[in-house]
Amino acid sequence: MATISFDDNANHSSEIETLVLEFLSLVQTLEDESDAPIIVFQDGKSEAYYIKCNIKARDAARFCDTKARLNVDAPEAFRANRELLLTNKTFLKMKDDAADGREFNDIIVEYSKTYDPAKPLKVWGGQHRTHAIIAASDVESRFHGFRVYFRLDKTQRTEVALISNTNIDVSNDTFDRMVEETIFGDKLRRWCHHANLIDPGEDFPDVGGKSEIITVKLARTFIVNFHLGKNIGNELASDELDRRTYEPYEALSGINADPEYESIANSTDILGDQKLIEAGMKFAELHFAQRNAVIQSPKITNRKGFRNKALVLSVLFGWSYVAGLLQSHEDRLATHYSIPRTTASIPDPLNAIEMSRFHHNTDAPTYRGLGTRSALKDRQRVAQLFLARSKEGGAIDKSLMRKAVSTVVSLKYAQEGY
Amino acid sequence: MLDFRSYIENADLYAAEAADEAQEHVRKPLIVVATILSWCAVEAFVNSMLEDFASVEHLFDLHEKGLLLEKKVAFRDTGDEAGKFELEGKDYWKIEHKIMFLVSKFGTGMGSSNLNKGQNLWREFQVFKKARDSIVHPRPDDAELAVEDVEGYIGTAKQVIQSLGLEVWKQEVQF
Repeated sequence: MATISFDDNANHSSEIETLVLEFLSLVQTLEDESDAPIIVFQDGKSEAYYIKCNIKARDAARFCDTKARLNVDAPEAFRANRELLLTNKTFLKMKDDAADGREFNDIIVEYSKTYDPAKPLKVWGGQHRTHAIIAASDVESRFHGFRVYFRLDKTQRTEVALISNTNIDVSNDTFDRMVEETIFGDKLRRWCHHANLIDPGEDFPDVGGKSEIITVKLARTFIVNFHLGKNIGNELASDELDRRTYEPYEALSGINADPEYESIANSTDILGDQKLIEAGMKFAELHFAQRNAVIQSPKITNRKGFRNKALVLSVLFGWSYVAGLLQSHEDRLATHYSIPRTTASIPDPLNAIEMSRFHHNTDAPTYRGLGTRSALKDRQRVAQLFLARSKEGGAIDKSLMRKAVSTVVSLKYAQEGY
Repeated sequence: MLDFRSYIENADLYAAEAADEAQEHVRKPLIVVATILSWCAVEAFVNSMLEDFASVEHLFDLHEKGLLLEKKVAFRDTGDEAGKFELEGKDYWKIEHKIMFLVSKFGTGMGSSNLNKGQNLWREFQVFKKARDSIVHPRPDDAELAVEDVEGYIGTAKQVIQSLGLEVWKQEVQF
């Protein structure tokens, strides 16, 4: 058995020493084989303990788990990493190289038997390399370089996952999902399940742009805007609603949780707020009505951008803001929640084609249309569009778009001019 | 309905065609079309601006609303509304007045604007208007328009639009 020593920068821990010994008794390492010492390091920032060692491909295949979870206590087993791209050319090359004897290094794993104890090496960084090693382990069993972490808490685990993924193409959506799980647990996902925005058993997508499902960012922003709108709506009389513009919020993506969302998530019970869940359900109805209309109507191209018009940032932001705004104006809320009428010339509820054609004179010629971008101007316009529709219902036609955008533009300049 | 950019683009196209056209009987109608289209660009731009403000009519007094909605201000002297002013029917407002209103209400005011009557741009605009009137209401002794004239009108149309954009929106208009 290899000797274990702690690095000068690492605090000695008997518990860690025991875990390392347990790991070494299970997994064959080059260090053990060659009687080299095993040094335990401790990260200065996260204080996480780890060792560097070389593991045989055969053992990697046996013990590595690429379905690592951030929240090890959650009853549902949602994986944290992005999906494996098994048909990606780079991965296929990696696999061929592994079979030809390529030795890989710096694969990041966590030694944990908390779930799926038969595969205690939870892979956080290098899941494609690990998969390539596993695939080639029958024909080539060389040693590969690993960094093995021990006794990670949830925050340390997320940090390891994030750091391991910063130099590869990991989307903001995957980051958001990891951070969400670490800081807030599974509340947001459960809220989406309650609101029918995500099917039971389904998780947020790795990359929102490639999927047709609501992302963590969108779900967070929905909730923030619902609250922002609700707070302002409570202060406005019904005749004041249409006499001002609104600024729907865009939640930030990335390593830190958005502060507005964090504040709401920590101070309210999103799973117990029936009005919020109802808003989510109504939005899901709109999304599915839009999808179905685009899929079924011969009058509109079955294009993802049209199918998922409701999930375009500015559309979701504006809709959820108005849903909140009208919580204290129930007559108009019911109209807002109704699916916009389709007609012979408007085949889909959100009139995606006409929205993308819409152009105001203040816009640059390169402007891509209403509800296509997330800039404040577009968020304001879409909010005004849904607010204007909540007065009389009906279809989202060109005239309604014109009226809504004119209101936003003219309120801005009229107020400046006075 | 075309927007102001489409009118200007098409005016440019027809003016270019007129410049390349050697035959007079083909060139003349192209000049007429280009002149009318460039005038339409100004009308479309100004009316669209007014329509924007009409959507927030609560911010304006009755006479201003009359201009925005192109309605007459009438004094009621019968019925329950007797003694009150109201908007009624259709009223015609000159484009010059619409421009003056927009500059005065939202811009720097006509005194300091380059759309002021004393400025070259306004004088050129009046020449442009006269040419347009001569096309719409032709008379036998009207002077014939040349390609250089229509190129000048298109330039004037763009300058008027640009000046109005800067006055009201405080931003340059992109053609």
